[in-house]
Amino acid sequence: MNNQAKPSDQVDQELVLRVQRGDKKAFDMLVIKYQHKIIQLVNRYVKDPSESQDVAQEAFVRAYKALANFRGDSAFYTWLYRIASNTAKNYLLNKLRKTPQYEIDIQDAEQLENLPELQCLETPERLLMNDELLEVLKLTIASLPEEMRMAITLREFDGMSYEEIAETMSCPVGTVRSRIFRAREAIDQALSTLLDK
Amino acid sequence: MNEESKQKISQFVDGDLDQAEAISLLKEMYSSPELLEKYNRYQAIGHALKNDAFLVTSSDFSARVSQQIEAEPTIIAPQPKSNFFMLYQKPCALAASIAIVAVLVHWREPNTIATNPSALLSSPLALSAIGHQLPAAPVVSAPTDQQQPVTPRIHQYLQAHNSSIYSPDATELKRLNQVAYSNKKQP
Repeated sequence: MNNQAKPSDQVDQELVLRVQRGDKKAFDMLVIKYQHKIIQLVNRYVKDPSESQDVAQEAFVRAYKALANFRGDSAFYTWLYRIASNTAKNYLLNKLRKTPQYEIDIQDAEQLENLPELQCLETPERLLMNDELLEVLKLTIASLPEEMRMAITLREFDGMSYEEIAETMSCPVGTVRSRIFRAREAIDQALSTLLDK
Repeated sequence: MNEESKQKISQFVDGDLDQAEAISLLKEMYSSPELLEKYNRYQAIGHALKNDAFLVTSSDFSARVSQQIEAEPTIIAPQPKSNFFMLYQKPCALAASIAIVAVLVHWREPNTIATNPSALLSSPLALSAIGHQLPAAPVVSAPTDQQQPVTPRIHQYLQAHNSSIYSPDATELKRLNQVAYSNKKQP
């Protein structure tokens, strides 16, 4: 673990150390931090949303059990990512082994996410809901004031840092923070009518 | 939920909080489902913008994982063993060096140390072993009369050694053996 790590990695290092000293609550914080990313990763393999959350849950438990041996040779998220992707692949392999028409080799695991049988597990209701949410999202982005739209676009699509956005938009970093936050809030407000149904 | 907390969540999503602020916010989210939900929503918005798919994490996900972790044995990873050793490494090395130097000096200068123990620390060997530079140590190129007090036996041996070191042929070695043997006979 080096001292030049990014702030996010430093947070992980601190929490991992706490878990390794017996603090389970610190692991809960790591779960909170990465739950969305891990579910999103598992969802690439396991298309059913409730199944993907179960697999993500299993991945976190496996990570907890293996954490005593984590030495920080790689970033915590890289290590967690590998555990989650292996858990998802194993889940699919086990599932496919129960299906007689597939004779899957472990080497074929990378191809699993492309199998059509595993891609069409979303219900029509969910697909419709997804379309509606995306429609509202696009409309809300289009209706945002120019500087807010530009700030959130540079951040989310181009992955720019606050400093880079500030330079691009010729404004202070504090203004960028505020614009991105207000853009997210406006989108969240617009979506909440659908999401809170 | 106030605006400040929400803005902090937005910054946290973008990795813009320092370590202390981030851990403090995670603690808040741990105990506030409302804040956690906001965090999940902001992440879902980012995901939807990039992937054209809306993925919302269920609000009880972390609670379910937490419940399962609670049933697992607590991790106590082995701590680095070096703490005690690291703490005493330098003093122990210094003490060992001084002890070795004392043995060597005593072997070379038994009479001096016995009569004047403080000579141990001022001996050239001791000073060089503990990293001191002698202020103006004379370079001795050949044995002189001043070195005689060491003992005549050692002096003879050194003389024989100096004259033979660059000519280690069989005859010379035989001659040295004879010198060493005759020295042994001396009382």
